[in-house]
Amino acid sequence: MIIELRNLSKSFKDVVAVDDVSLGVERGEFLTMLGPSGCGKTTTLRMVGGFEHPDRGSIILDGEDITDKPPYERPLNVMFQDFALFPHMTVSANIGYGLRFGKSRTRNADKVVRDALAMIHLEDKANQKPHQLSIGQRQRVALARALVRQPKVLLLDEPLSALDAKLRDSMQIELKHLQRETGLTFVMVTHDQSEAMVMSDRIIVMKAGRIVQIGTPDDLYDKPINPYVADFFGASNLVVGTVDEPEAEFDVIRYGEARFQVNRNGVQHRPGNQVTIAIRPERIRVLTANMPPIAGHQNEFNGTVTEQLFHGNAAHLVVDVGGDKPITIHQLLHSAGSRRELPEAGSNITMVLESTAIVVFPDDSTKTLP
Amino acid sequence: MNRKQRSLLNFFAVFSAPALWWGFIVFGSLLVMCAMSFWRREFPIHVVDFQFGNYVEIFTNTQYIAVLARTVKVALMVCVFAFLVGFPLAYCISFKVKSNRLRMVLYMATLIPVWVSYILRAYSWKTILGTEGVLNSFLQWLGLIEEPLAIFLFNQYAMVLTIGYLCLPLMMLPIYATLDKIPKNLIEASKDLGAGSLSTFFYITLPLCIPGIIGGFTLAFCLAVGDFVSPILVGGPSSNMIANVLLTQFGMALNWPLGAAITVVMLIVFVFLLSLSNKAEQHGQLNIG
Repeated sequence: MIIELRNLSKSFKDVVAVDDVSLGVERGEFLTMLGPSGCGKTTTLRMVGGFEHPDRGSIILDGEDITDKPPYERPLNVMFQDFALFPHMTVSANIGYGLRFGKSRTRNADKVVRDALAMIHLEDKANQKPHQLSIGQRQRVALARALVRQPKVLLLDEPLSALDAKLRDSMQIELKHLQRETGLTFVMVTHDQSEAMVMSDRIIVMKAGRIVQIGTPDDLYDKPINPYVADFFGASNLVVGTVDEPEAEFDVIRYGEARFQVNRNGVQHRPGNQVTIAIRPERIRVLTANMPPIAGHQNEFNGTVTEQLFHGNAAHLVVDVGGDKPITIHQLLHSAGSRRELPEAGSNITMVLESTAIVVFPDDSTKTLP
Repeated sequence: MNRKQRSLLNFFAVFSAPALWWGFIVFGSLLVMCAMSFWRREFPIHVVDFQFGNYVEIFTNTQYIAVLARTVKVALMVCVFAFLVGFPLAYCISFKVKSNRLRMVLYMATLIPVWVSYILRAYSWKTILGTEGVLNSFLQWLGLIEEPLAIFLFNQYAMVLTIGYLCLPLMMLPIYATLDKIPKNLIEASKDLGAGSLSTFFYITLPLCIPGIIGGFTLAFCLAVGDFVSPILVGGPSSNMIANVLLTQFGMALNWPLGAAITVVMLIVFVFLLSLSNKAEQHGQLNIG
């Protein structure tokens, strides 16, 4: 473990920003702290960087307690949200800045800077000032500036939020490749769930200063531990159903006209209780006559299409199954015009849904509905 | 008439009147002053003429050059003094005071003296530095001196102190405004990259503050060169500044043409100095963010 946070807490006046957070970061992993603004992710990052001092708890970096060390004595570097390039210095002076001090002081700083400029393909901009660069170029300079010090960990504070959508997609891949190639530990903070899923090895979901769930992107998407996480990652049908008598090896949840057999996950559900369930819209399939048979245990249920929404690559069907809320289905459109084959508003359809695709939260989870 | 011409016409239609008015006020008085500098003094007051006698007088009589040189010297000393006091103050308010409210209070505290009459503020230094003054009483109370000392007042240093105090807000405000604009994450980035507090100050904070420092120097300099109150109140016998000379020429001596000529020379010298600072400021101009 390269970083270990032990019971970190931090308050600003009366507001608790980080509340007893403990976690470990593995060497060489890409870890992301994810959550809405005010969830404590940035404060946690700033405490690791040394810009805030925790009220309680400690920070261990590579076996060394760095809780009380100032930022300039910590062997890690930060890529700041708006890059924080020094406006009065040239690109190469910015990159070389960190090589003037402490252990990173080197005789061949010029060469290191030249190599770094080559790495980010900005050799020709060496003598320009940051404001003469495009946003994407500035970001690469900020990255190079942080990396030339060969930190043990790179902290990234919303690194892509200043970029436009297209550039962000390509930078996501670039950053991920860079992390893989260098084997460096990256700890990123973001509020963008898709960014987190694409880039991270593990994600920490935070809310109100606490960790809600830690896991791989797949875990968080397929096995969210509560409706908050399910809602945060992608789209989800979050509905409140009623527990029925169990059948064979399944628990049974009723929602409107639909009855779902769901896999037991160790949680006891008492018949008659209200529970929240999450169903991913793309996991529901509309049953058609010529559909090939599907493996696995399937739930079949009926409903009425109330609306069909065209999204270009997919169509969304809003289906009333007799519950409080309609259920949304996402259907990818594999060929042009295939939308016309989908059922129109007003038609009655039969849908199938694998029992493993339904996440049932514990009985009291209705209180934590987002 | 195309659109460009029309918009140009509209522009002139709107702005010609204020521009004329402004030009009349600003340049009209200067032109009168300039013209008068070529006039001749003659009983009872002066006559219109075109001759260079006044300028010859200025450059041959070393008294005027000496006063002009002293004025520039005192003004520069004032600037340095105000900077040495004002910069740390502005820095502390901007960087070290965490509470927004306290920062506002301190900021206002630097401004409040400006509301008090200029002469009164200059005069207050007389009560501080004089033989019966606060400083002497304090030193006597400490037992450091037996008799009140006269060395504090009526010399050039008392003048620099007094004018420096008067200029302090003008020095501080542009510096404070610039310091306050420096994004705090630049300071954090510098520390993150291994620079300690001192290195961060000299490599990041100070360079980024240069436009504010130049602004402060310019404002303080402008106020200091025109001061004629402090030389009278705390300055002592040989501390006349150029403004005092002008006062004499236009007042008691009734030599308006010579006064006008001195003004023109002064104007040329100061415009030159200010254009230097303006150049420096443009050079130091930065795109932050």
